[in-house]
Amino acid sequence: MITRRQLGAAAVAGIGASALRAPAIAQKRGGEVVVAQQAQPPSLDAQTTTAQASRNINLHIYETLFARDEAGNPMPDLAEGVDISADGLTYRFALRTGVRFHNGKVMDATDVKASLERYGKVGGSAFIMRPVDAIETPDARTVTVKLKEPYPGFIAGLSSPRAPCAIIPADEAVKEANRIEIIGTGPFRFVEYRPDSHVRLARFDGYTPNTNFRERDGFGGRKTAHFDAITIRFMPEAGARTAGLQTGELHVLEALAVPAAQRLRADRNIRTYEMIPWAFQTLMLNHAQGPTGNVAFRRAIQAALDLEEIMAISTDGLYRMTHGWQHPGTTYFAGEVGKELYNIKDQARARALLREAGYRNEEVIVLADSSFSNHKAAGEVTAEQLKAIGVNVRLVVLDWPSALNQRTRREGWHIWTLMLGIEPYEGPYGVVGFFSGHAPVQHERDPVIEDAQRRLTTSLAEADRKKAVADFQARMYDQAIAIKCGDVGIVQAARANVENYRPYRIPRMWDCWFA
Amino acid sequence: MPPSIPASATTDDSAAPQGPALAARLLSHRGVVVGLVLFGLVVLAALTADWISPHDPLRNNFRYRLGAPNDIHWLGTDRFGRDILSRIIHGTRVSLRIGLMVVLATGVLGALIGATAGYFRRLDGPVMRVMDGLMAFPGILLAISLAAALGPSELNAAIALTVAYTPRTARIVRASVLVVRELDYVEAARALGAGHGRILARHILPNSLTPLVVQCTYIFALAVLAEAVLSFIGVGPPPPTPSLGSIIADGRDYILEAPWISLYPGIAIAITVLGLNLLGDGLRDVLDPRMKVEIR
Amino acid sequence: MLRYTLGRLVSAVPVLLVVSLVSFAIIALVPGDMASEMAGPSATAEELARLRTQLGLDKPIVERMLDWYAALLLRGDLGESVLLRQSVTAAILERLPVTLSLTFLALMVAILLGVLAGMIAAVRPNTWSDQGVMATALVGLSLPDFWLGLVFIWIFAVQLGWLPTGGYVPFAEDPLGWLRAMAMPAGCLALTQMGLLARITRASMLDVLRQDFVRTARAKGLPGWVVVAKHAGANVLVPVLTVAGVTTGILLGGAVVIEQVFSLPGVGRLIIGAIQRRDYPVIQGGLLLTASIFVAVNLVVDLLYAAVDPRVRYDRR
Repeated sequence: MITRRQLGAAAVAGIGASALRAPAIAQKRGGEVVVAQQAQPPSLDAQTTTAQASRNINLHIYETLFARDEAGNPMPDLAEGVDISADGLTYRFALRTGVRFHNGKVMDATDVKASLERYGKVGGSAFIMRPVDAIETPDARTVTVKLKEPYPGFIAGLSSPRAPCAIIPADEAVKEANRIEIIGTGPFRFVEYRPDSHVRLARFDGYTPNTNFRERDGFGGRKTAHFDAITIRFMPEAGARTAGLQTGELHVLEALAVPAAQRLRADRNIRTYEMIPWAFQTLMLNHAQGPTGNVAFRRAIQAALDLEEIMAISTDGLYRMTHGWQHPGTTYFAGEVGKELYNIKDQARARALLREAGYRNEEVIVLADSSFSNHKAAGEVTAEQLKAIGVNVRLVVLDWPSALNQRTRREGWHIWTLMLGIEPYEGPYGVVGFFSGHAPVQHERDPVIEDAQRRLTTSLAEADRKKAVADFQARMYDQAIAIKCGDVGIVQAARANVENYRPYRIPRMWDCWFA
Repeated sequence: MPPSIPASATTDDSAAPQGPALAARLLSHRGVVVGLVLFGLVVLAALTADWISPHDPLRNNFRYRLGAPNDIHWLGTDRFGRDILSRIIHGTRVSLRIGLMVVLATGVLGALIGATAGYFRRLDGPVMRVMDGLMAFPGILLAISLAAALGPSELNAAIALTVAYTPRTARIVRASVLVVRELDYVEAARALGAGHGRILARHILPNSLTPLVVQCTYIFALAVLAEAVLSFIGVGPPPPTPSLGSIIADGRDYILEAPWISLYPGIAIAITVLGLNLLGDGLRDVLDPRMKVEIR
Repeated sequence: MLRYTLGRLVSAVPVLLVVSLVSFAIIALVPGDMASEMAGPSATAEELARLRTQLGLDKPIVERMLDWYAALLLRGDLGESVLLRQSVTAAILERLPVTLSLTFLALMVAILLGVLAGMIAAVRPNTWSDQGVMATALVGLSLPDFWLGLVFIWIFAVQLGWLPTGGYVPFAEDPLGWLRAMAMPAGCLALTQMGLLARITRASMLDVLRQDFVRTARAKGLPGWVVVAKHAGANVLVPVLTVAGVTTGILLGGAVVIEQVFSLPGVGRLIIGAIQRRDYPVIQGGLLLTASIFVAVNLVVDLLYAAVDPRVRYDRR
């Protein structure tokens, strides 16, 4: 039997200095808080979408059986806990009692079963339900999930906010993707969605807080809604968002441009909250064709690039030079593995490797997108650096859907700039999964990574899984499968009168209030 | 279909001066002179970009990101630490190149389509309905959609703008052809057995040229503005080569912290477009005093 | 007049057909689709294929096109946007007030400023005031409107703190809030478009002022401004009206970009967003509708024009 709650050890990822500030002032109820974000949500059907713009909103509305705590480790939320059988095949979830949906109905096992089954069909990370053999509801507050084979990543998947496995009423769970009524169990309920303008949420007064905890913790813990309402506005112009925060039209920004944060540091009406590491900046390499199919050429890229220049420019200066394919301080962080090949900036070695690769000026396409300015900037800097060692580079900048579409093809790109945010936060499964399985990002399966992935997803002993991740990281560097440039930080910001705000993967509007 | 304001075509040659007289008339027109100077400056910058740029426009310097204007970087630097002045100077090249491509393409296509529609009556209806259809979109919206569909590149931006603006030139040429074709000497040429091609080439097109040239000047101006919009929306010419529009777009996120990134290329666009507009107005005044208002 | 009106209405049909064909061509050309946007960066080719089938994106373009025409003609239905959870018609109708009120306000300001500038210029042609006014108008015409928007935000919202940086307030909810929200975007559009109106006003004023009846009025000793107001004003109306039609079209186009800058939930932002998200039904419906408005505006202008000046009915189709 495995424990009910595994509290993460020391991980401090994502806790800013302000996290330690105790709520000195009394909590106050009321007010309407206005949050601004750049993009609008592609969907408010939480299960289906992996977009950050959706997650920011959806995790106020919906909750999951397990959530992630402040350090990113799984913790029970709608479940009291889980009992996992010794063979790792049976997960018995005890549900919290008296939890109400926004439509007034009390959540029970049938809702959970229906939600999990729906997730297997429409879920943004539907693969986590693939090992599931059957879901049973022995009684109204127990759900038993039986797996076909051991899958130690199951709770990590269920608790992930990537495309949250939201628990919705059984009546809704029979509906197709994006056809549901927006009903969850979260501290805020959905009021309206005006595309290209805003989403409005209101405090759910029938909310059942999780009394197993004393305070908010990551996406879980005891959540208390103080604001009467939240308006999340979609504002495409960074300048307009910053100006809105300055003038007080907006109270909270999902992300504030780094130079703006530096400028506003002296502004006493505004508090800024740095979060680092927020994401990886990476360069994905296409092994299926062209020069990047040749390991010597990939090593030449690895040797040549000045990754600090890429990071400094693409992040506007908020970055950390770390080589790991997991965040430092987390369970699966692999230590120094591969570090000797990280950011070596050795042009002579790069040229020698180019000769070894037999490179004869074939065109190398750097693929980036204009929708995320970091991606584009990273692409521009990479292209310039590779030109400097004599690579015939062509930079192709598409919009986001086109770039995504292009990268699923085997031809038409060699280097693709991508920030991985939520996957490293989730732990090792998403990151390793990116490079393995039947459609790895590099388009050619690597036997060592496949083996590491298999061990990671099936070994019941944590030590074995850690070893698998370390082997994965070693292989990533040795074969220059892809390039990790460094860790990207972001700045969240709020007006000074928003009390007890603490930055996290989304701007959480519970457990904070107006002074 | 937008209203076709009677863009009264020139008919008799006597009204429009030619040769040295024309040059003299043009140069005595203040608007033309100012326009020439402004646009000439921009063209000169584009032609000599490699020599006059103080820095390499693509050279990154991550230690001097978002630098304010100073002695070394007169107009400051962008998020890459690249010199804005040098980027603007080089940016005029891309913007002018796109403008030139669009002008040539809309001029030639417009002349062909307009002449065909105006001269061959049977084709007039169908051809002009297609033109009306294209003109029914706000030009910039059509250009954005097409540029997004074709993918971002200098050529695709030019193609998108050509599709958006060709109906204008076609309408103008057609209108003047309709007038010219009924004139006595064209009738005479026809009676003498001249073929359609010869009549079109020798008699009709030359007479439609004046309004076309004036219109092309305006289209050049529009194309420079539109390129900036395409870049702003993210479907303009891709990096690393800067265009005036893409420099503005790159600076949009820093408009409050580093306003120089977007401010100066905007002024460069304004100078280019103002020069072209002045030139267009002057040409119209001199070449065709009776032409009232052209559709812009 | 009735016959002319009907004729003009009928002639709009082929135009809209071309419009719809062009919007299909755009969709057929565009790479990537809604599925890749929805599935995200880690989706595999198989997952994408599954999503495409669910969304009906795997059907050939011709089949989708025929379905679309059938739905439109039989049921007046423009389809549904999966991403917006709305019918396209509803999505557009919801945004229309924003775009129309923006365009309308911008047009009013542009006409006001443009006509005023044109009149000032025409009263003393070729003087300092004439050239100053016209040069200003021309400079406005030469500025990129979105750039002006960014500059305005910097000046009026950040430096002066007079106006909100963006967002929309419905007129019915709060008229003053609406005006404040619209002031910058409409001002931007108006400033970049008043030039054309100023010019046409000046040109037609000059024409009118040269004519005999005005000379007579002046000879009678009436003060200049009275002459301008009583006689010239009315005669300037027709060309101004015509140009206003053209300007409306340009403003509709300009609104597309300005809505982006000022975070206004209008039709332009809907269409740009739909292009970026590959929301095909919205792209089609949005383009068709925008073009229809454009056609309708020009139809109205032409009819007004024909009503004012009967000769038009005969020499134009």
